[in-house]
Amino acid sequence: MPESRHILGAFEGAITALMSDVRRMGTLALQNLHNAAEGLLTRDSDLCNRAIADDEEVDLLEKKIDRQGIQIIMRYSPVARDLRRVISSMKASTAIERISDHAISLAKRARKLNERTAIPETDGIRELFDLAASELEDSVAAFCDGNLEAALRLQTRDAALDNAHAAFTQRVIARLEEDATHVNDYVDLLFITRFLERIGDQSVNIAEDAVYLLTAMDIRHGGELPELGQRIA
Amino acid sequence: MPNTPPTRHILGAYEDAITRLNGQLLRMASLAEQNLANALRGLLERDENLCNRAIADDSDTDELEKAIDQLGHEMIVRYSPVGRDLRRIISSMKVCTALERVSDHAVSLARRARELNQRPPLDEVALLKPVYELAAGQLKQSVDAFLRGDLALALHIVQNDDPLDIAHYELIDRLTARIGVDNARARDYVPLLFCTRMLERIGDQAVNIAEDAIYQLTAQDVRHGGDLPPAPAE
Repeated sequence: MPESRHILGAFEGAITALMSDVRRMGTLALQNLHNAAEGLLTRDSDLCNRAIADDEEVDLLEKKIDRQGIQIIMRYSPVARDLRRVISSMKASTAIERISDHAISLAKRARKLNERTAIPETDGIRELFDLAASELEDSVAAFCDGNLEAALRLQTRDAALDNAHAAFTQRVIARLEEDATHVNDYVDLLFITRFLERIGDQSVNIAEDAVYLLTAMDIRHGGELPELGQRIA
Repeated sequence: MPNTPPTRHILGAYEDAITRLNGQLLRMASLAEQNLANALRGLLERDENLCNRAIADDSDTDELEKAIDQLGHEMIVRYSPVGRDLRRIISSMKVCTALERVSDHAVSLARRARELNQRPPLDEVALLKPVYELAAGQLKQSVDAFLRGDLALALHIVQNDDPLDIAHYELIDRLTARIGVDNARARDYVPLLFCTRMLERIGDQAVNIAEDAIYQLTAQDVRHGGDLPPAPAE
């Protein structure tokens, strides 16, 4: 536990830097997702390539957050909420890195779709992308701002994306059954919708990390939820 | 060994805690491997019960994930570990996240298998077996490398994940081509595409575990194309 005022200040400074890296990582992942999806929806493969190229910065931040987290633990021996802030940041960064990875997978499939004739079903991705992007944005904000209410809403919100994903998948499979000329396109779309659904899942994980940070309650896998406003040291 | 154990008594307690942590990881890994094996057999043998078992048993890995995270937290607070001791605890928490994902993928596979089992059989289901063997082999080796602290094995896994990648892409291409020929059965083939993808993701998680092993042993973060440490001398 930090003892003197001086050490306390240094610890707070280190934690603030860690959190701002998490926030920056979230912003970059969201931008990659945005570029990948717009690259698909506007058939702009340059945007897809930008998403793919920019993923490196997310990777580097993931490593930096882990490195800083370990240093903070060694230097300050934080306990209780201070330790949860460090460990949860490391966990959230793993989830954000996965999300950016899914955005890259999306961009790669989008490039292939862009090389072939446009199919109307692609437009259906817009709804899924909007849901996934807002989950990502809000979960990272809830984590970095310590907003318990927003974090607790994520699980429910993700159900909308799950439903949209299931409906879109059924629609594409039905098209596949009718029309064999665009098999590759439909298969790419099936994978793309799956990536967006996974991004929603990872956003829920980030929100769960936020809840753990704020309340010390591990709500993963259907754990008991805290009361609103419940926060502990 | 902890770098700064204040007393022998605490040292003993620390060693006990590490043993407990390793034991829980081993148990979690065995469960994840078992769930994956059940899901795949459920698919290959069209056995609904095995699919259901893989789905039902996933809650055990979920509970272990929470238990390992909690134990890791407690160890950091109680022993203020540094150096390799700290890396070991943090890496264990990362490995348990990876194993939980593996078990999740096994559940997804089992759910797809249940869909497939309700429909007429497909010859192509058998093509998943070699892909599964590559993924399961990689998983088992990575867990061994982590728990035994085997740097050479961990490096081997990180440098040799191509066969699974290639097998996965070949099968995806083959299934896609099959749908092109027989698109009336698209509903049967699409779940197989996703099963193939799950196996590839499991292989990725195995690579993550191997990377955690390397980090734990050498303090080198080799993720995302970082420099690899030299292999240990024979």
